[in-house]
Amino acid sequence: MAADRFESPVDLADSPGTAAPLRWTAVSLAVASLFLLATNSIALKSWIDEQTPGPLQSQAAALADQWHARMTTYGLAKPRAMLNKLWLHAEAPDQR
Amino acid sequence: MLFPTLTFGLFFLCIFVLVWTLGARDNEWRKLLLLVASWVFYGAWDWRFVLLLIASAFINWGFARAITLKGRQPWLALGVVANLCILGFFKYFGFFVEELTPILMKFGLGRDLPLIQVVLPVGISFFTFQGMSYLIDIARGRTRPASLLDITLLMSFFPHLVAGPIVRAAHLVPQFASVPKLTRGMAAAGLSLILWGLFKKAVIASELSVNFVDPIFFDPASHGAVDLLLGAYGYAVQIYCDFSAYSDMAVGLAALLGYRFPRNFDQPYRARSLQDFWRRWHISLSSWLRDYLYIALGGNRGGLWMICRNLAITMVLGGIWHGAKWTFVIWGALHGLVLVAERIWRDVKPPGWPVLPRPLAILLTFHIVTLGWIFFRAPGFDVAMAYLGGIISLRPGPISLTPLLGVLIAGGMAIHFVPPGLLPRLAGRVARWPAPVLGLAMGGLVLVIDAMRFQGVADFIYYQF
Repeated sequence: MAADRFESPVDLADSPGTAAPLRWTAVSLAVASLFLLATNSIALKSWIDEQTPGPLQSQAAALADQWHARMTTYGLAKPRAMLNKLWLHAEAPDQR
Repeated sequence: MLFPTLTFGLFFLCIFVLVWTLGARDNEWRKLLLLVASWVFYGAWDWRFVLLLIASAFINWGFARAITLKGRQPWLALGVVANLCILGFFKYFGFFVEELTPILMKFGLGRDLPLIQVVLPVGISFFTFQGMSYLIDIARGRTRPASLLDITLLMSFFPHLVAGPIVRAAHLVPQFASVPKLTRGMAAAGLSLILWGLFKKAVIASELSVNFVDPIFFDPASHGAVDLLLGAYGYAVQIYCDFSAYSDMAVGLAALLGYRFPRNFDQPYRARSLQDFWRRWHISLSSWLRDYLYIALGGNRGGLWMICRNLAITMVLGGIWHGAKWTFVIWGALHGLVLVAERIWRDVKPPGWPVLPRPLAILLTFHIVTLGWIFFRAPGFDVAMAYLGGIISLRPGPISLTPLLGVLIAGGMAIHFVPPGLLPRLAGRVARWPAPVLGLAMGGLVLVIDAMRFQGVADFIYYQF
């Protein structure tokens, strides 16, 4: 049916090869997740802290605290902290 | 559950793994998995909404069967009325009670009005419009009747469920016929759209909203004309970056699950007329209104007067679709009036008269749209008039725009003037990268966005519709 045909933003004019697209996507997502787990440990810590308190939550929070402390020691949390500091400085009302 | 949150990110990663492992073997199981995931997603707001969604899907499935087996009438009319009743009750009941109360009080009847606080289910306008278009398409022979599972999944599918795009049965149901194939191009385009949407929502829209637009619209009387004007520009950028971000992420998420959604935005502020604007803004709604309302009213038949009438009715109803508020009615009416004026001018313009230069036409259209946004954003008619009054009176006052906010507004406008095919071209290149490189690049970009984002994430503007 003609109505089946429509334009989508995910239709690329020059579609590259189709070699293992699912594995390629899954590996990309996994690498991005691991990268963020290491460099953005503060986000994980904050997210767990926001969950409903309970035995599981407090255990997870303790683990997230340890993880964040370790990433900070390795210096992996520093880029995010620096970027955030720069952004907050730019945001400050006295920048008017 | 909001898209730009860790909760949703983890939810989506689980669904991605499940649909491409367990769901890859059997399409029916895959669809069931997506259906349950969609209900979990929707139930995160309120589990009662899920029951409404299921009921709505059953109603549309039943009426579609009746139309197919017993003929168009009265089943189509009943089906459309059923959808309108659901929408009307949840969305407009409170408004009518509020408007009727003072009138009935005069006649001593006000005390008999029911005291019901109706909770507005998130995204109800989207899924009821989807249901109506499904029934009309069945009656017109434009789509085939779907199975109960397909129609329920069509209406519940979590990427588009709460703020569109309005994906029609003809778009999505044929894709449900088999396990979809994911291509690298589709995945790369999907990931690019998700990141781009995340940036627009979490950085531009949130920052503008919290630090600039909200305070100005909260109390326009305490701001000068320049601040008010900049606030209106800020809102124009905010609503674009907010709503188009949702659409981008919805399209991207669906793509990662193997499904194609239609385009919903196409650089709307580079429109040269209001008609052009509506071909670029919320395309799935404007095409819905054109196909199921404007054409049903008579469309371009019956001469200039009828065309103008149909345009005006369509836009006013389009305004009311957004919510039960007079400001939305005025917003729709303003768009309708300008569309009518454009149409009349096209017909009566003497031949040989010069056409407005393109930059001026874009500037004029943008300002008409921005004028409409003041009514759209203002909490009430009084605030909108106070806002406009402040601008017209050239009231002096300090400017609360920081350099950062200025850059965000300029950036939000500049997005509209980059080559339209930039993102697909970029996605085409990304698709050739090795997976670990892409993973690191994505992780780096999310890290930067997260460092820039405002604390917490506000709801998307279109959730309320």
